[in-house]
Amino acid sequence: MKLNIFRKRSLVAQAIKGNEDAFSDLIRGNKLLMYKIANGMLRNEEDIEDAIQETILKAFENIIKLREEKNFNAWLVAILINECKAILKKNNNITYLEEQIEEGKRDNYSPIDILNGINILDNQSKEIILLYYFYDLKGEEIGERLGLNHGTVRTKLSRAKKRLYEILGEDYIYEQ
Amino acid sequence: MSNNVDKKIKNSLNKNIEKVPKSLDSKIEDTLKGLKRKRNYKKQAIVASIIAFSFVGLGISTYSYANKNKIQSDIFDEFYISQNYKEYGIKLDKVLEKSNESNKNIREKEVKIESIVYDGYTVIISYKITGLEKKEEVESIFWKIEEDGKQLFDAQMGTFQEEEGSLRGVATSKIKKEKNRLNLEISAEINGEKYKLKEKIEVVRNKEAIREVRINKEIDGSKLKKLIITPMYLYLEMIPNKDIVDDEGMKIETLDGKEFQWTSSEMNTQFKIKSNFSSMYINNYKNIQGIRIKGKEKNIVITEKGEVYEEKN
Repeated sequence: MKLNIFRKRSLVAQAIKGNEDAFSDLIRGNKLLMYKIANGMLRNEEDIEDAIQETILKAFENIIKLREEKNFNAWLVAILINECKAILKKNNNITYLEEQIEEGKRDNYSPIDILNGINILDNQSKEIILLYYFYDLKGEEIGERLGLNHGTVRTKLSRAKKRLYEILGEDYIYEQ
Repeated sequence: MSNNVDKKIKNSLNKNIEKVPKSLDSKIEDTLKGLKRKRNYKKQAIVASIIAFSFVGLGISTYSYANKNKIQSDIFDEFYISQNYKEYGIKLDKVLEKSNESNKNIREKEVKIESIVYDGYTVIISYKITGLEKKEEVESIFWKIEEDGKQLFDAQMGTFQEEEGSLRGVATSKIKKEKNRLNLEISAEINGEKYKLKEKIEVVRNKEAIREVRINKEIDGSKLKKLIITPMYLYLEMIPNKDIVDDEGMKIETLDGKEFQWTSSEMNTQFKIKSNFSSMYINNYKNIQGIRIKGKEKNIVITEKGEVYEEKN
């Protein structure tokens, strides 16, 4: 049995090494994701812009500390969600997850509940669930992107969804 | 149904947003233009040679952990090899020689083994190949690591710098039965061209740094047999239940709650009845005071002295 994984140096690896162009390309590639998330948490356009700009600056300052390059999206989103929370707090508009969740099934979910739930997952699960919900990728495609086998993605996705459904107060049915 | 919940979640998160508003887009571009480099780059540690002793006349070089010199290899960092390689890795810097006729149409390459790590169960080499012309050449690379004429199981990973035509990576080989010394022959084939290390490399593990603990306890329907702790990896051997096989093995952590990252599992079936299952975890820690193997209802605790006991969750 033999396994070969050869790859081009990734943009994340180049950004960690200090390549500003690579970092900029990563941000451009994730700007829609960032906007969807900030838009889900904040109502005011100015706040959304502030949160995203601050996230870019913090990510640039700290990318050298990023250990698992394949978890870049999860890492970036965690910074953004914290920025959004800081703005909500500053605006005295704190949203407590527990207060929003009611028993039983619902027709609509507040993005803020979902994003809060996603944000408490571990980095790898967060990465998987972001690719699943925002990029609409299937298990095999997620595995290819993250260098994980299909079984691992399936297990992690299933666990992450279960956790998320628990947070949202939804009964969880295991998908095969 | 969870499918409906999924759909609702996707709708709620995406809300038909298809692009970023123009004003935000230009602010993002302004922010990117204004980025100033303020970083302090990691200084590369000075790499010292740690050849313990060498039998050049016999064509065998022996390398041992005995020397305390440390190595630094960003390629080990890149492929998430245990950080302990810095103390247990050995610097080689050996260039392989071409062992067949040159094809004049193919660019000359340099194939170099940079360093090697051996913990008694797994041998990892880091390598660098320069002079590669295209992706197809990279895909044709085949590393051959043999011990006593037998090819070891191996996995190879690498990062290709297209502009430089260089590939750096690691090749990992598992040893079927633990050995204090390995006598390795290392060769590589690239696009039909063969390269071979002229001498044999004998690597010696640090036996004192390895602990083997017999567990012989049942947890979540799996019978745990033993845990081997090396500076690079933890190897957990068991007769598993089905769930463990489908999953990533058991969770293992230090007594103060730091998790060991699972890396792979393999199954050896004997006589179609019992299956031995072995999981590997990356050991990034030093001075481990004790280990906890986590189950659903109970845990198994292994103390620093090697005592094994059960603990309720």
